[in-house]
Amino acid sequence: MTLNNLSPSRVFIVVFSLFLLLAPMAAFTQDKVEVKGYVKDTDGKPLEGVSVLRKANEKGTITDANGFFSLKLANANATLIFSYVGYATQTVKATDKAEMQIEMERTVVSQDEVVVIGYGTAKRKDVTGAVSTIKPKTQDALQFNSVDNLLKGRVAGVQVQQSAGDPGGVVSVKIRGINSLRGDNEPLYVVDGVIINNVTRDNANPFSTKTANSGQTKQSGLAGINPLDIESIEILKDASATAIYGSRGANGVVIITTKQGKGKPIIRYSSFIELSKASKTLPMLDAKGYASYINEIQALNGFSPKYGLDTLQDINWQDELQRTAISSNNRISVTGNSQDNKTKYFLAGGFLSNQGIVQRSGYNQGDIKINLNQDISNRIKLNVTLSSVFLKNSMSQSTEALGGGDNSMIIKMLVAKPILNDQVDLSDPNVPYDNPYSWLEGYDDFSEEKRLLGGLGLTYKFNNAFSYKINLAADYKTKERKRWFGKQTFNGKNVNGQLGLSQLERKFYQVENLLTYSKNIKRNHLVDGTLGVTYDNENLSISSVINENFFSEALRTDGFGYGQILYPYYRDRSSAEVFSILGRVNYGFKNKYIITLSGRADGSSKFAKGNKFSFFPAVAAAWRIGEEDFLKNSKTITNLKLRAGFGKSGNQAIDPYGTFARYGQTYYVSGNTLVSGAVPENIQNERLKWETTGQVNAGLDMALFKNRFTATVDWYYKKTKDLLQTFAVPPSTGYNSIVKNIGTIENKGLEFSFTGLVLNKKDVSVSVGGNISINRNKILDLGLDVSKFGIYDWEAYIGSNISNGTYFKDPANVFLVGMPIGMFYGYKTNGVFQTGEAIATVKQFGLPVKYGDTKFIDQNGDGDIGPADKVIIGNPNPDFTYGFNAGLTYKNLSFDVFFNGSYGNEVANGNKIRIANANGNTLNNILAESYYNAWTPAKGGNWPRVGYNNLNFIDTYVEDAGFLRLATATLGYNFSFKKGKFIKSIGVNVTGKNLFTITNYTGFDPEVNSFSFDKGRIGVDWGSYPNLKAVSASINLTF
Amino acid sequence: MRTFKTIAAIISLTVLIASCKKEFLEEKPYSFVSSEALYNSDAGLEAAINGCYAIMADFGGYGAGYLTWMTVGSGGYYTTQGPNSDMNTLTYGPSNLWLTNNSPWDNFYSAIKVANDIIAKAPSGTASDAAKTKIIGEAHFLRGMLYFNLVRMFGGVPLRLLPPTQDDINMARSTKEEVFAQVIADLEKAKTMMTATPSIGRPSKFAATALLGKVYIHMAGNDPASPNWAKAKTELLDVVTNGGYVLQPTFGSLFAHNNENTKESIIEIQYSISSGPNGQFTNYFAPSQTTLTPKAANGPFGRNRPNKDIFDRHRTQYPGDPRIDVSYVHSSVTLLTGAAQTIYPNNTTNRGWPYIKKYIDPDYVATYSNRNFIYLRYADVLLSLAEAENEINGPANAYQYVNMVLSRARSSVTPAAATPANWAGMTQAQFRDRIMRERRYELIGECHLYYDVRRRGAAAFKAFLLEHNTHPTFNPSFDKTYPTDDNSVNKLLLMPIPEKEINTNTLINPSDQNPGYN
Repeated sequence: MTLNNLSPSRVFIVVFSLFLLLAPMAAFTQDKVEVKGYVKDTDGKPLEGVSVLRKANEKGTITDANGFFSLKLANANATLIFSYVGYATQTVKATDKAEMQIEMERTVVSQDEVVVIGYGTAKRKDVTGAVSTIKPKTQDALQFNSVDNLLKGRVAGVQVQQSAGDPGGVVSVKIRGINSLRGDNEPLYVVDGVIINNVTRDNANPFSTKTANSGQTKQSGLAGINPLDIESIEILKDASATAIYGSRGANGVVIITTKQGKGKPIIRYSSFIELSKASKTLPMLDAKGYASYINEIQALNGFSPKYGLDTLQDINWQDELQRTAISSNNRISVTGNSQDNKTKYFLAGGFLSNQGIVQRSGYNQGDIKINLNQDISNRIKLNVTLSSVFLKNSMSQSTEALGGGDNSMIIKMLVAKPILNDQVDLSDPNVPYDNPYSWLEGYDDFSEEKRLLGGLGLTYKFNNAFSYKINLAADYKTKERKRWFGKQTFNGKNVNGQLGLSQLERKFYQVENLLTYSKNIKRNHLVDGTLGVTYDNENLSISSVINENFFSEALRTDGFGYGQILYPYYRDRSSAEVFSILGRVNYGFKNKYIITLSGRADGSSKFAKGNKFSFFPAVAAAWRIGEEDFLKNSKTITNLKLRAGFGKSGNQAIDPYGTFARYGQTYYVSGNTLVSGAVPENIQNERLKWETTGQVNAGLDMALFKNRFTATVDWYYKKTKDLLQTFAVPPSTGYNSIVKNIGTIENKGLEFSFTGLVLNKKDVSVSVGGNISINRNKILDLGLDVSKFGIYDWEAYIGSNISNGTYFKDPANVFLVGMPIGMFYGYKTNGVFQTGEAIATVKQFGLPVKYGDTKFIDQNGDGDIGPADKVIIGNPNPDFTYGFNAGLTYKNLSFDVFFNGSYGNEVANGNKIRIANANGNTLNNILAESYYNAWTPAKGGNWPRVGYNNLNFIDTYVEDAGFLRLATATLGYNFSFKKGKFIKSIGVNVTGKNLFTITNYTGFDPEVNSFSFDKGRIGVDWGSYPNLKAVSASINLTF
Repeated sequence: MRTFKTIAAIISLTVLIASCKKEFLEEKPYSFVSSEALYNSDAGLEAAINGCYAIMADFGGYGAGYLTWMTVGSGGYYTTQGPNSDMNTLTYGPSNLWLTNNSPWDNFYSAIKVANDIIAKAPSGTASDAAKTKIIGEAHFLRGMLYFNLVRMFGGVPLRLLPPTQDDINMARSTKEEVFAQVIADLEKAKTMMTATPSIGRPSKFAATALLGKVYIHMAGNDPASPNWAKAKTELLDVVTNGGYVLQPTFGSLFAHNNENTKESIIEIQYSISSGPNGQFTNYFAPSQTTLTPKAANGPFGRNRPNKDIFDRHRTQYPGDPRIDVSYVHSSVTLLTGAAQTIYPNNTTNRGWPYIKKYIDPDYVATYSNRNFIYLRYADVLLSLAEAENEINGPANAYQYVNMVLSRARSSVTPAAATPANWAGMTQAQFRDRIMRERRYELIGECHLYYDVRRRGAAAFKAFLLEHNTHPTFNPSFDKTYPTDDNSVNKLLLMPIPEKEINTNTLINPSDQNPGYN
């Protein structure tokens, strides 16, 4: 594995050179009076980064690491505004007579804080929709390499699940439940205004047409947005907030704003190192246990014992294939403005290396980020943003629709024979595939991704009220993925080595014209509005090719030309366009009553004439009760705001060309040479249209005791109709599925979040925060006929098969009108048959039973067990999810903990089908307890007897997966240095991640969803990567 | 006011520029063709029919799914494929592995969809009339052949003859008779449209005629009075007289390496080592890591193996029949390591199986090979004609056709072998019994066994299963006992309708499932 072509030093050189180029932009200034001062908090600690602005025209600076500021003004008769996130804003008259002393008071949420709401900003107090904000702290940002993980547990209504767990694996984010029965429920991401609507798009699996057993672990599409560069993340949850994103807003919107330059030049350097290991290993049988188990099976079948117990060498494959992984992250950033304050820059660059706990997995990434703002004249402003990332990833083979498990490294790690001296010669380069080393020796999954994301905006200010902005942005990404199956793997063995290459190229650009208006009319009326015309275009090419039968395996992923069975090259190109007109009007009366009207008309190329355009309106209102006379002077209630709104938003997340009758390419043979053919690919559906979600939201924001305590409650109800579904059609049509608008789902829920500054004394402060989300979803209509499911008549359909192999080849979920999505559907059991029970006439699956067999419940009373006895055996949807944090500071020392959890959800622990039965399959190791606790006539018990095989999905595999986890605990110490020193401050943090998890779940990790993008397989743990626990240390230097 | 004018101008300009773009918000296809592109040229028509062949030849169809059902599912084979063990014991149900994934049901309907598309859309295209006649004729032929497979496997199936639209995705089962009527109509139509001479991989109109003969034989079942025997005879005789097919001089040359698309072959499915459709014949039949596939150090699967009784019957009946060594790998194999490995009949442990040899490609390296699959060949026509003639008039005139096949078998080696001797002096009943066995010997591994052991009814099928269960070398540790109670036997005459079809097709309910599979 070679992942080290991009050295950190090279990245730094590039960043520094850019810095040197830009630094001389500082220019000449005419101001005369110099105002100096010092800003501290109530504990007397200096505050760095406080913004100091002259009221009139937003000219200003920020305080340095020691809290000092100096500002040149035309005269001393100015008013200065001091503001800092988390502190109450102060307005103070400037003076040049003496050094100004400002003491800032801590609050939790400032009502004047600016919130990004999509095509504009608003002050927190004026927001009428359900919008949550996260401003990641450096220490948190360092813990996560992708934005999605940063959201986990931090925002009410947002559920984050890791699908694969390999570093770089895709993460699923859901806002306010599942809206759509299609694969994609991911929110829309908007990064500095650039729409990223395709995070789940990955390279094609080259092997998908060749063998149904070869899955491909999905990789994240959000790579390249470094959490350390993020200033704020806004999550738009309700329709009144998301309607401005129209046809792409139904799953919520995550707006990511990166840091912009400000203040005197400051250089920051962060270095992070982390050691991680698997948070859990499963207690499988050891060599002796396994040998006794196999010997017992041999005896049952009338054969002599296979193993003598004395000469066995034990091997624990989980320890053998996993490691303590070392990850690091180094990043440097420069931020500042020129002396005339016309040029502002933020530059960052870094290198991170993330090792996986499974050997050979991990990724390396280097990137550069530039944000530049330039005032060209009083009226014209320019802003440029550019980020460029290079990423190399190496993955292990885990979750997918795989065969018996020989196709998954994680499953193989569990079930492989734990006897070292009963393996074939391990030094042999042709290690056969029956041994986990084969995955280390014979499998590569390398990918390389390059991404360039950038935009250029020009703002022209007509007058104090009107301005016009044009934004041009582009997102360009290429990714190559190479997967090699050597002879040691099942796939490679069959074909003498197999190599699949796939390529993805995505070109996206957008043009936005925005006209904004903002005016205070006679103090009592505040009007602002946005009108925009936007266009975006996505062009996607994917290609893949396979070669097989390699005479030399030495070159692996790079030896493409040495294969001798070259398959036809597959290439697909598509494009999609969206054209929109959008608008929003905000009207505030007397600072108390606010109403927002917004709407977006979207035209999409994906739909046929007549269905191309749709309009998504929303209205919301807020009443700032706290500003009413009866509360205005209240010492207790500093803010109280009631919000309500409703609106429509859409989802058009289908592949292009759905309305066409398409013919795809294929090949036949004539005289051993290929001839091309064409076959119809789909059932044409010209009636396709948007999926529409209508949502009502009501919320209450509250702040008590000078904003020391805040709380937000939101209630919502949303209904999604005309669901875009990939609907399974009868195979007798000749097709698998049709994309159709059909069915209705509702989600309703309650979200609660709070923050509080419990203690705020000199030297000591304690803060707490938390959130809890309750979501209930229900399928209202599926557009199906009622049919028989066992003993029930349901309007329902069954989910997808979990695997294609021997184990868990049945579906786990049922989608049923009147019930939540994806209920588990299988057999109820009641322990095992105990000695003495009358079993002579009992039949299960047409066969007689024995004592010690699992006792299935005969639902229909027909005296036998069969598919008609399946019932609902569990619910993968949580009752509620939550997260909470607490922070303690004492002088320069800080301690923060963050917990997250979930309650009431269940997981289908699929691995149990294979490892929780002492079924006597000699190719399988099993859980120690399934052998030692197995039923015997003498001992009894409720684990099935040795030799009993069950391949059905039964209730004992469905487990409570509620959990409470200490996600992070961080201890930090901050050194500040006197003014004039080269180094201004040093921060040191030590963090523990996943230190403990309280759960009843017996698999690797309860927070699992192996197929998070397949809505036919929900809440299933099938060979998922183990979670990790980690300790890390980081240092942050400011110069 | 100037401000407003400027703003208005900018906005209208943007909207204008955007909407003036010629194909604004119109999708432009890049990677697929339209039906016009396909059906407006002769080359496009060729591509369309190639698509139909390619699908049915692929993994779920003749490539692996169909072949697995026709061998292991027949009751004459064993498979080492763990997830398919229910087929091994003939206890398969609607969710059997090979009905869930890579199911011939799905595959054949997928190929039928292509044929339907051609039949519906090609006539209005602007391709030449000659090409249209030929290709539409072939589409009828393929559709007839595919429904003939389906009706024999599943009984009455949904009879889809037009491309589906989103409003008619559900369709009820037709009766068996309706499906047969359609098969006959399609093949009759094909006869009038296809060319008289075949080209590589593309059958002539006599393929339709021959298949029609087989359709009538299947319909005749076990009823000596059926008028279908005579209809079969007419068609088959037409093939013998006018078809231009001849038996290969030796039985071995029929399956010789790189000797493909011979004059004996009537319908031959084409495969290539350089991909195209995925045919698993060598992979599924050839024993692992032997000198028979010297280039495949790690393969093939060798998973579908004929039962001992199938092999033993042949060699007991015709000791020294040259066809045995062509059809079977038996006694021992040489492993790639150089070591000898005994197999059946020299070895009766769990390694003790014979293998089908017909499809072994010595060039096989991976899952793909050049080995074609002969769906229908002239010897089958001769045996079928003999069978029909015997039912109509008794054996006197039927011997000649069988003896052509037997004499070719004997002369497959030099000097010619003594067995199988020409037939003579049989009663009609004896002939009937022998011809059914003869088909097993001549056509073993060629995907006819499944139908041949069932089409003469439950009693004959039960007798076939019992032959296996009571075979002298049956070893209960390795061999699977087939169920032979009447319910099971009757149930096994048809395959279950796949669970997926019942779950998705609102017009086929569990109660419409074939008997015994509910």
